[in-house]
Amino acid sequence: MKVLDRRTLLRGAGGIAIGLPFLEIMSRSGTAAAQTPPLPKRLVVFFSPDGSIRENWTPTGTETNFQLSRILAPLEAHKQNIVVIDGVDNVCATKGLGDDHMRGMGAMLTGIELLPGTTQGGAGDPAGLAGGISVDQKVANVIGKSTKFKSLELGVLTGGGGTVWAYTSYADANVPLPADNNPASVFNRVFSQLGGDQTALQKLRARRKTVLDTVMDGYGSLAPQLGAVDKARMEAHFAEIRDLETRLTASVGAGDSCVKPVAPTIDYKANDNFPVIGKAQMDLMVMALACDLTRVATIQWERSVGDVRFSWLGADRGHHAYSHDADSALDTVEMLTKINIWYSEQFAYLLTKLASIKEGAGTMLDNTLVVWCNELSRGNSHSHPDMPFVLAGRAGGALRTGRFLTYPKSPTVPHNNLLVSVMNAMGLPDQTIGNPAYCTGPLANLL
Amino acid sequence: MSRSFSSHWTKGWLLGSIVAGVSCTGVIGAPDNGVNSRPGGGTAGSGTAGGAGADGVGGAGVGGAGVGGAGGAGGAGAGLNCTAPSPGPSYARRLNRFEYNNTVRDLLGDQTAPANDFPSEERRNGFDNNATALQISPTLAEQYMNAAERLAAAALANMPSLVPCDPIKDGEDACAKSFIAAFGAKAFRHPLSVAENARLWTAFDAGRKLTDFKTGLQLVLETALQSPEFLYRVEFGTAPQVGQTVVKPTSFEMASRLSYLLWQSMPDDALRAAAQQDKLVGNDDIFAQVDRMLKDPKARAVVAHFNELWFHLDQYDVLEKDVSVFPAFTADIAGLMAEESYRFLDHVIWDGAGDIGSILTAPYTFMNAKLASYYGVPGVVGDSFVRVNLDPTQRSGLLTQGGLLSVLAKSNQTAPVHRGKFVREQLLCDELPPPPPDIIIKPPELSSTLSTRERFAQHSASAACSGCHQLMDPIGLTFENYDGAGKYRTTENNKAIDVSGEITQSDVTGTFQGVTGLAQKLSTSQKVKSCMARSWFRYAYGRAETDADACALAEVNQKFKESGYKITSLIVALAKTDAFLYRPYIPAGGAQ
Repeated sequence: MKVLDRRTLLRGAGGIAIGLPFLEIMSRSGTAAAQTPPLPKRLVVFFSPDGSIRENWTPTGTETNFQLSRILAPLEAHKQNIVVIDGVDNVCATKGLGDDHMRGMGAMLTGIELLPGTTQGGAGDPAGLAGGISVDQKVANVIGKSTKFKSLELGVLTGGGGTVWAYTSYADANVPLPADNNPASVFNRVFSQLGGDQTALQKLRARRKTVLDTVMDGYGSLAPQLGAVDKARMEAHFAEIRDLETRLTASVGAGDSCVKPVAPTIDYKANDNFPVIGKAQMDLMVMALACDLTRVATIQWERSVGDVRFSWLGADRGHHAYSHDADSALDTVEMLTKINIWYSEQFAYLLTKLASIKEGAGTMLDNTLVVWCNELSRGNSHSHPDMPFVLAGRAGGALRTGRFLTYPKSPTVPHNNLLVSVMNAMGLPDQTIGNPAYCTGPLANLL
Repeated sequence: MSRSFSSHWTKGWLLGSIVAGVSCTGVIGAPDNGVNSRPGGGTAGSGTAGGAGADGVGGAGVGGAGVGGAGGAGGAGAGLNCTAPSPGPSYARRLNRFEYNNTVRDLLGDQTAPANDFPSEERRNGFDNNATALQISPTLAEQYMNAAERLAAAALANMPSLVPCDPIKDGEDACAKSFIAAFGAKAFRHPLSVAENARLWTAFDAGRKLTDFKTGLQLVLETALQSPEFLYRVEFGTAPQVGQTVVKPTSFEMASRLSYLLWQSMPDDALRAAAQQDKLVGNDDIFAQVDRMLKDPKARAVVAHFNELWFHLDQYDVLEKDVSVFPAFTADIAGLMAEESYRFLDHVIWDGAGDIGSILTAPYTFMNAKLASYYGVPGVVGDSFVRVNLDPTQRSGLLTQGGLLSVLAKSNQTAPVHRGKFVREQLLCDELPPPPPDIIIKPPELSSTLSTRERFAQHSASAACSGCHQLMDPIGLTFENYDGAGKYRTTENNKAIDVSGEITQSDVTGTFQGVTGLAQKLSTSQKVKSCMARSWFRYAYGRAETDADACALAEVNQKFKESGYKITSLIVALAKTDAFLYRPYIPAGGAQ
C-alpha cells in the first residue's frame, strides 16, 4: 500500500482537478486557514435488519449522563460521538400496502408509503417499491454534485434484487439503487483510476466524453416518437448517461489521508464471509470518503428479512428465522441480542475508522453524520414504534453528540422528523420529507 | 397515536384463516375450463381478487379465505370474442444479462459473457426479463460503458475480420462509412436512419481526430453498444390506418421479436435479409422462420434458460450443506446435479417425448460415474454423462433429481414445506397465502428418534397452521424418501418412511404413494399444463398477462393441448398469437 502524494492525485485522478488552483484542493485538508472553505460534510447510512431487542438495547440514565446497554456496549469508546434515540416511531410503516418488513424498509429513509405492486409479503396487500426518494439521495443531490460519485451503495450479502426488501436507497419513487455486494467490484469502480498513467487517463476521459455525448445526442431523435411509458424509460436511461458523464469528468480532491486501498479478493457470496466482506466494504467506504470520491455512502447489511446465518456466533438458523421466535424462547432472545451486539461492534469499527482520518483540527468523523437504522423495531412483533436509531459523528458541528434522547409516547414522534433533521444537519433547509402527514418538522432537541 | 394491531391483518386471507377459523380452505384458483376465465381473476375466496395490472401477478388473490386464484385462460375460450386482434401492451424491453451476452456473441463473436458482471435483474413473476422491471441504474450505466469499451477493443484486435474494407486502399472515409452502415444496422437491428448514421459518424470522426482510424472505429462500437437502440428493443409499429388502434410490427421489428423469442439474441442474416425484403409481415413468412429458427441450437439455450429460472436450476451450484450431516455432498456433486437436470430437461423436451408430463415422469436421467456413485446407482463408468434408466420404484422425472431435492431442503435436513410449496406454486401455479407474521417459523427440532413426518405433525395439529399446511405438507412429506441432499432412503431413525400423500383442492385430488405417484398424478393435471402455458407466456413476452390477452392465452392453451402438451409446440404457439403478431398503436406521448 502506498500513500499517494497530492501531486499524483491531482494529476492522476481528476481531469478537471488539474486545472484547479493547488491551494483550493489543499485547503480541504484544513491547512490553508485564511481562505479555508468549510470541510466537506459526509453522510453515511448503516443498515441492519430484522429489528433489535429493545430491553437489551435501550440505555439507562439521563440525556447526558447515561449508561449504554448490553447491545450498545461496544460503542463505549465512542460514547461522546453518538446520539442514541429512543421513542421515535416509523409511523409511515404502519400505513399502506405491503407487510411490516416491506413497509418498514420502504419508509425507513423515504418516509412515504409503498407503491402498488406485485410483491406479496408475509401479510397485507402486495406492494411495489418505495414511493419516494430516500434521505441519503436527497442529501446526495445537494452535496454529491462535485464528487466523482454522487453516492456509493455498498452491500453485504444483500441477496437478489427486485423487491422492496432488497434496497436501502432510492433515487426516486420506484428507482432503487442496488447495493454492490462485491468489494472487488467496488474497488474497481471507485479506486482503479487512482494513480496510474496520467496521459492515458486523460485520453480515456476525452474518449468517454465523446462517446457519451454522442449517445446523448440520440435522445432527440428517439424520445419524441415514443409513447409515454417507453419515453419515460428512455428519459431515465439518458438521465443516467448524463450522470455518468458528470461523474467521469468530476474533479477528485483528496485529503492527506487518501490512500489507495489494496484490491480485495473475497468470495462475497459465502455466508461465513459476512464479517470479512463487511469489513472490506467499510474500509473501502471510509477511503472513498477520505479521498473525497464521494460524500454520501450507504452500507446495507443483509436485507429486510435478511437471513444470514451468524455461524461465527453459534447460530444454527438464519437471522430472520430467529427474529420470528416468541419472547419466551430465551435462547433466541439471547442469540438476537448477540447478533445486535455484533452489529454494534461493526458500527464501532466504522466510527473508529472514520475517526482515524485526520481533517483540520479534528477527524473525518467530526464532519460526518452516520445513521444506523433498521426496518423494524422488534422482529417477532414486526413493529415500528421506538425504532432503534443511533446517530454518530458531529456533522461538522451540527449534531450535539454524547447524548441519549428519549421521546414521549404521546403525541407520537414520527421518524420522518428524524429524516428532516438529517437533512438539516447536512445543510439542507427542508422542513418535511416523504408523506407530510407523518411529519411535523425537525426532531426536537436533536441538532 | 393508537398502535392498533395493523389494520391490514384483519382483512385478507387472515380473516378467513383466523377470525373465521377456517384456515385456507377456499377453492383454489380459477377453474380451468376456460369459461369466463379471466387471467388474473381468482374465483377463490371472498376478499379482494388480485387484479392483473399492467404488470401484475395474475390472480394473486390476496383476499378471502383460500388459495388465491391461479387464473389462466384454459382451453378454447368459450364466451370469448376473439375476432379482432387484441395484442395486449407492448413495452420497450431492455436486454437482460442473458440477452446481452447472446447478442454480443452474435454481433461480435464475443464469447466472454460480459453481462455476468452486471447487477442481477429483478425477478418478476419468477422471470428475469420483465420489461417494466428492467430499470437502469448508475451502476448499470457504468457497466454498460465498461463492457462496451472491452468489447470494442477485443473486436478491433482483429480488425480485418470486423471491417471488410481497407482504409488505405479504399480511403478512410469510404471505409468508415460502409462499416458504420453495415455494423450499425446489425447493432441497432434496423437500417440506420440519417440521424443515427450521422451520430456514429461523429463518434468515428472524433476518435480519428483524437488518435487514428482504428480509434474512430472503437468509438463507433462504444457508441453503438451504449445506445438505447442497441440496449433496448424499441418498437414503433407500422403506420396505422385512420382510426386503427392495433398495428403490425415492421418487418425489422418482427425480425427482432422472432429472434428474441426463440433465441434471446439478435436476428441472424436470414432474418435480416427477410426483413430487408419486407418478408416478415404475412403469417406464412413469419411461421416459416419460426420453424427454421426452432431447429437452431440457440433455441435450446432459451428453453434451458426458462428451465433454469422455473425449476431453480440456477440455485444448484450455490448450495451449501452441513458437512456433518451430508459429508458426501460437495460442490462437485452440486455441479454434477445441475448438469444432470440440464441434460435431462434438454433431452426430454428436444429429443424425447417432449411433453410436460414426461418431464415429471420420464423413467430415465443422465449421470456420470461420480454422480452415479453418489446416488448409489451401479454400472456407470467414466466422466461423461450417459443416459441411465431409473429404478421405477425409487425415482422418475425431474422431481426426484438430486439437485431440485437439495435446493428444496435445509442445510441439515429435508424441507417438506418447501417441497410441497414448490409443487403448489411452480407446478400448479397456486398462490399460497404467506404464513401469519407473528408465528414462530422454525422447523421442528432435529430428532434422533422421530421421523420428519412426526416432527411436522404440529402443523396439522395447530389450527393456525393446518389450514395452509394441509395444502403443502401432505405433498411435501411424500418426498421423504430423499434426504436433504437428494439421496434415496427408505428409513429414517430406523423407522420405515411413510410416503403416503394426498392432494386436495386441485383438479387431481386424491391419495398417492411417494413422489413417483405424485408425478403420475401431476402429469395428468390440466392445471399443471395451463400453469406451464401461463409461465411461458410471461417469459416469452416479458410481461404478465392482462385482460386483453384472454384470447391469446386461450389459443396458446388450445395449441398446447393439440400438440400433446409439447413444450416446443407451446413456444411455436406463442409466436402465433395476437400478442406476438400485433402491437397497440401508440401515438407519440400517448398511453397504452
